[in-house]
Amino acid sequence: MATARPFPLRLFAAPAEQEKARERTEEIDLLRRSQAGDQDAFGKIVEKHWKRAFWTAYDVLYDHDRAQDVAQEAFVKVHRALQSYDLGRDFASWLYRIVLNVAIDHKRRRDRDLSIPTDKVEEVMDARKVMVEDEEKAATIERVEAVLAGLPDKYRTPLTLKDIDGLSVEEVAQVLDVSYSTVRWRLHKARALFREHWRRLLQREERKHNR
Amino acid sequence: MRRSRLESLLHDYVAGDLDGDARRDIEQRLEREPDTRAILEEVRSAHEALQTLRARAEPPVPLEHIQAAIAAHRFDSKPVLHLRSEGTRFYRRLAMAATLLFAVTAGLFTYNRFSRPAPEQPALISDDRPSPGKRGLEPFVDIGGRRNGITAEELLRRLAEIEKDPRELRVTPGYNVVPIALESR
Repeated sequence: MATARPFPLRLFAAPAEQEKARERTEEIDLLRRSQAGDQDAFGKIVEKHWKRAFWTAYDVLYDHDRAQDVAQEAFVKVHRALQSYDLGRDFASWLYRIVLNVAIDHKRRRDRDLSIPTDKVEEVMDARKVMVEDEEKAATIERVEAVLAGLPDKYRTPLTLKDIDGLSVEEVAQVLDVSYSTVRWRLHKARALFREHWRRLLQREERKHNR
Repeated sequence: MRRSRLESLLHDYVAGDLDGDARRDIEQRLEREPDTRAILEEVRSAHEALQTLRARAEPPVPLEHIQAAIAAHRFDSKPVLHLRSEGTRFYRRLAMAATLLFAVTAGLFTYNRFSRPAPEQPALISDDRPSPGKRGLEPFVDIGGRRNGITAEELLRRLAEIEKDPRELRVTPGYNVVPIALESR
């Protein structure tokens, strides 16, 4: 079994950095216990990362039910591969990568399946309304998601990982298994595309409003 | 500075990814350039729109389902060693099948090539005349070498079939057939 790399002693580190280091130490402890078969420890890991995993899957599929299935499947895969997991690696990046792979597989399968009943789509839309109570906020989220859904996957994924999930460029590169400069370029392109589509959407709505 | 480069820097600025000199440079530009400020507003609007997705609700954690799925998977015979996606697995299997097919085909070809006698080929006769004083340019008949196992008698019979007079030729041990007339010169 791989052992964790020791963290450097940071006596004079900033509080935010100290907090980050403490969280990381706790996570390694949970992972180590999970590797030893402690189900409670694994449950805590799931609870901690569930939101990220779910929304990452959602940003690929735009379907709550499928996003839930994907996140669930990803955690089962994580559990099965936990014995070979190197504790020195960043767990979140590893998890994201698994979630994205599973989500992309689901998307491909869904794209092949052309017989999605319309009532299923309505059901998903209803679920979305339940998940965001503030109507105005829900409307903005829906518009942003619509614009994002129009972007090619290769641009949308780095954008959501960086600007929504808050990963660094290095972390995004790790998750997507591409170089730092590739992420920078795709991010630049994605932001420009999003901005352009967003501007057009606002202009369309303004014109509609003025009529 | 090109507009796309400036936009990229403004995105980094809004996202809080610019430090030190780069940040100061942008702030100075914003102070003196109204156009840059207009771009900043557009960039900020898009960035803030994206940020609304951070407020998405905490979805309920189906922990019991996950634990049940994990328990069910314990009885699986195949452990997950590599986290490959279904798609990747499909292509790996396809590549393995293609490699296997290639190996079998190559094996069959090699077996056929070396384990059976090669089909008999007709004797070839060159009508070239040798250059005077040069060795090794004699007209000869190539019957494919020893592998065919053709005897001198058989060769002579074939030569007769293609209307070469065997009396003008002599079969050498190396299976070259040299015209006797030339040899005697």
